[in-house]
Amino acid sequence: MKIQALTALALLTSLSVACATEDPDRNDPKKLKAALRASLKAETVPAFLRFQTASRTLSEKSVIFCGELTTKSLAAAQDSFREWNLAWNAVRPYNFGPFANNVIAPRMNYFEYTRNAHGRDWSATVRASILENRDKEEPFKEITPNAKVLGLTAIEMLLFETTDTSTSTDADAVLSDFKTHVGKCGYLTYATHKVHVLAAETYEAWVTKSDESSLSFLDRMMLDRLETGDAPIAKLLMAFSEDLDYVKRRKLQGTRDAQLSGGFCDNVSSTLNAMEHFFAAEGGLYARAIARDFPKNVSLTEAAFKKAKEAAGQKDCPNDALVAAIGSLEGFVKRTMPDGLGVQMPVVNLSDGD
Amino acid sequence: MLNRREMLLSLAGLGLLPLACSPEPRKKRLERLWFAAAGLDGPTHGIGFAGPEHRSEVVVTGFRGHDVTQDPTRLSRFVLSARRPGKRSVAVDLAHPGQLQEIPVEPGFVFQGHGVFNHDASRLYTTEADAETAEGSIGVRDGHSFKMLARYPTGGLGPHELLLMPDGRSLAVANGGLLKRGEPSLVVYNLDTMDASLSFISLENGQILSQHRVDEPKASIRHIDVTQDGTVAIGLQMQRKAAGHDHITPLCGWLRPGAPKIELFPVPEAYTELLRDYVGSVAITPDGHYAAFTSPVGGICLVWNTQTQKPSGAHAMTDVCGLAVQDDGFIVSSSTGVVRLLDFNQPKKALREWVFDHMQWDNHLISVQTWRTS
Repeated sequence: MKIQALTALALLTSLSVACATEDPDRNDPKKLKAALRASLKAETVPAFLRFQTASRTLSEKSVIFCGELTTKSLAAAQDSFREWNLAWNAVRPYNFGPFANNVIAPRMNYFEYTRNAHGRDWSATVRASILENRDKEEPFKEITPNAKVLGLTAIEMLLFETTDTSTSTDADAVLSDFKTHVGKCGYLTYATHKVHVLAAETYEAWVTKSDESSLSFLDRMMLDRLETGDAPIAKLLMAFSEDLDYVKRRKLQGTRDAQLSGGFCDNVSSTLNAMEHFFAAEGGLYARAIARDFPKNVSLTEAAFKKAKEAAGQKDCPNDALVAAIGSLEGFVKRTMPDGLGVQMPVVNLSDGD
Repeated sequence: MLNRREMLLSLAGLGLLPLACSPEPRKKRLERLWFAAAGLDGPTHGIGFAGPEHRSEVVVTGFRGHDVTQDPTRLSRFVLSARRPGKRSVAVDLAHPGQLQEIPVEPGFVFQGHGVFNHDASRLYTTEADAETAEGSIGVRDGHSFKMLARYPTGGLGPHELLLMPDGRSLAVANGGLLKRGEPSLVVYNLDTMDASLSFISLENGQILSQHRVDEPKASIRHIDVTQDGTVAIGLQMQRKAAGHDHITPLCGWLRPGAPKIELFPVPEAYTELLRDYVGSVAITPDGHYAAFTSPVGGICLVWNTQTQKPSGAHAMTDVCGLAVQDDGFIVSSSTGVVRLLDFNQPKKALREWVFDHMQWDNHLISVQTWRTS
């Protein structure tokens, strides 16, 4: 009984101390929104603008290449793809809002189909589609191709390998393949144009007017809830952690992509840099966590980013080190930073086997 | 750390505080409410409820429940079934929310998440399993004292959801087919040999009346709902690691009365893929015209029109799982505290939305009329 009384006293004391020291500023939702807006404006919006620009360049270089069919223009188109892929990897973590504009055929699917189709390798489907269309004058004149045969995988295959059984990546062979199979250019220009249009729509939705709403998505991120029912900041942090999980499971523990163009490790670095810059933006989320007196959460997350970037920066970014570092970073993004920011994350407890 | 409101609700749930402090006479009225297991951890776990015109409340039970079932003869009385592999379930009467009636499981067995009363509430049936072998059984208990009366085999491992058939004389039971031992881990020990089935069990003698399977051997049957005519809608969960293929597998279907085989709906692959191999809850309208399937993994509720054999549409909602039928549409809930009403024909946009901050709705939701005192 005495112990119970002491325990009760201790509980009451701790509650009163907590109440007395509770700083109302700490959980001020307006300050969190201001920090989120600062990070979004400083990093997210420019990243989407870079992606739009890179998409336009890729489309233009593809058109130029198909007009010239020269070694030089092929190299330029290939380079623009590599640049596009870097820009793409910086925005792919934002798999919500404008990227998820449509339940059945979201824009995301037209960029990187596997992002929403975990565990499935569609490369054979894409190759089959290219093979089927390589000799058609205008491959998609009468049908609208499915997202799974467009986007990143298709454009890379078109630009970097031949359609014969050798699937050679030699530039001369690829150029010759384009000259032999007229449909390849039709396919390439269609796919890159589609990417360009959708990237422009995505940027527009972020900054001007988002889908089926008069507000920009940037402004909608300042609302209390998104259409999916969750708080914007929680949705964003969850999307980041899901993207890290996607890179880890699908690409590192599954099949690495960008093998034809050779930029896998750089692409991972691009994702990590984009996320880190987002948190570190002036007046952004790191600053907010520090202002809330959670500097340790920030320093731990910074250290996790550093480790992951180092692993991605090593020659050929060895799998084991990168898997471990990204797995660790994922935890900091979905737990440590939310704790530091006072953000209640979606529980995601409903899918554990029942 | 509990916030003040949660603390008060917890204390109220334990009978330490009156639920209402108004000096006005208390009125009893019939009200539509949604019930589900709720909460994040021990001190906040309980039976959560809320309604279109009612703030959310939690009767704290101290353990994570899974499904809630209503006593059909006493509408204010509910049973919260323990989440697999649970040792406790409880009954609570909202007229006396501080008085929890414990429903213990027999030694060597674990609760599997679901329970149901018979029509006169003289019996409570719960899905249970041997803690070591996962051999499935129905615990038959007195509906008032909850004294164990009998145990009926379900004909499979890892039974999960069960339903009373409309005739009141038999149960439909989804045998997940998975060997998970009496531990909360997600390890499955029998992926090679798993055998999922839908069993119908006589309440008269516990005999298995019939048993049905789907063609895909790695699809676990876990969630079901039933129409007025006894059609049972089913939702599947693919054990993808064991499947050995990447084909998109149908996850939604039904078994019509008298039909020998489960019929899987011809849902277009683009929709099935959204479910990400996982159906967490199933609901079908009493007339069988519309069936809905939620996937918290995909963040999707798919509505299927059984008459046109086409999807009515899909609704995107983070961590959605709770699902119930009302006259005006399907009700869905999420762990983020959101409840939405979806139109049977056009579910893409919610007809209405209610947000209950600090409420984490667990897997299953029921929408019922109940007596409330206010």
